[in-house]
Amino acid sequence: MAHVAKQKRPEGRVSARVIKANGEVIELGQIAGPGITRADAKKGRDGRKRLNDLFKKEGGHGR
Amino acid sequence: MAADVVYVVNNGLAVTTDRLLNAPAGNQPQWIDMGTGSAAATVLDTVLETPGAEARTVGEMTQETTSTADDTLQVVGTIEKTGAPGAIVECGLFTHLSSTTGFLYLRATFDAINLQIGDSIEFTIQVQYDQA
Repeated sequence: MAHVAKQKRPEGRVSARVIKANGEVIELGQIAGPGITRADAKKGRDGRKRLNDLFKKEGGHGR
Repeated sequence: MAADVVYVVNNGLAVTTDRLLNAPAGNQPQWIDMGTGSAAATVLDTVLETPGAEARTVGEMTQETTSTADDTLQVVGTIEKTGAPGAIVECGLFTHLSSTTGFLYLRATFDAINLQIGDSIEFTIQVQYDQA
C-alpha cells in the first residue's frame, strides 16, 4: 500500500501593536496562534494593562 | 476572555488552491477586518462573528521564512478605530474589501484589546505552510 503524506492545515499567527491617537505605540507581541513565547505573553499583559489604564483614564468602558 | 486561536478556515483552503491556478477565480486574501465577537475561531467560520464599524483595510503581502525559505505568507495592515470605543477580540483576512463578496481566509480570536476612537491597531498576520 502506497504511503500517502497528509498535509496539515497551515498554521496562523497574529501579532499586534496599538498606535494611540497621540502617537504612543503599545506593543502587544503575538496575540494568537501557537508558540507564544514568555516574552510575548509578558508584552501582551503589559500592553493590555497600559491600554486598560488609558481606557479608564479616557473614560471608556472596555472589557 | 476570548480563546487565542487562529485558523485558516475551510474557505481559506479553497482560496489557497484557487490562487495556484493559472487563472484564479478569486482575489488575494489581503483585506484585514476586526470585530467584537468572542466565540473562538473554528475552521467552519465564513465571516467574523461581529465585524466592527471600520472598513476593511488592505494589507501589505510578503513571503517570509519561518522554517523553510518563503514558507510563510505575511499580511500587515492597520485599522483605525471608529464608531465607539471598545474591545477588539477578533480579526480576519478576506479576499475582498466588501463584506458582501469574497471569502474569509483566516480568522483569529484573542484577549480583549481596548481601543478609543482614533486609536489604530496594526495587525501582522502570518500563515506558515511548512507543517511537515
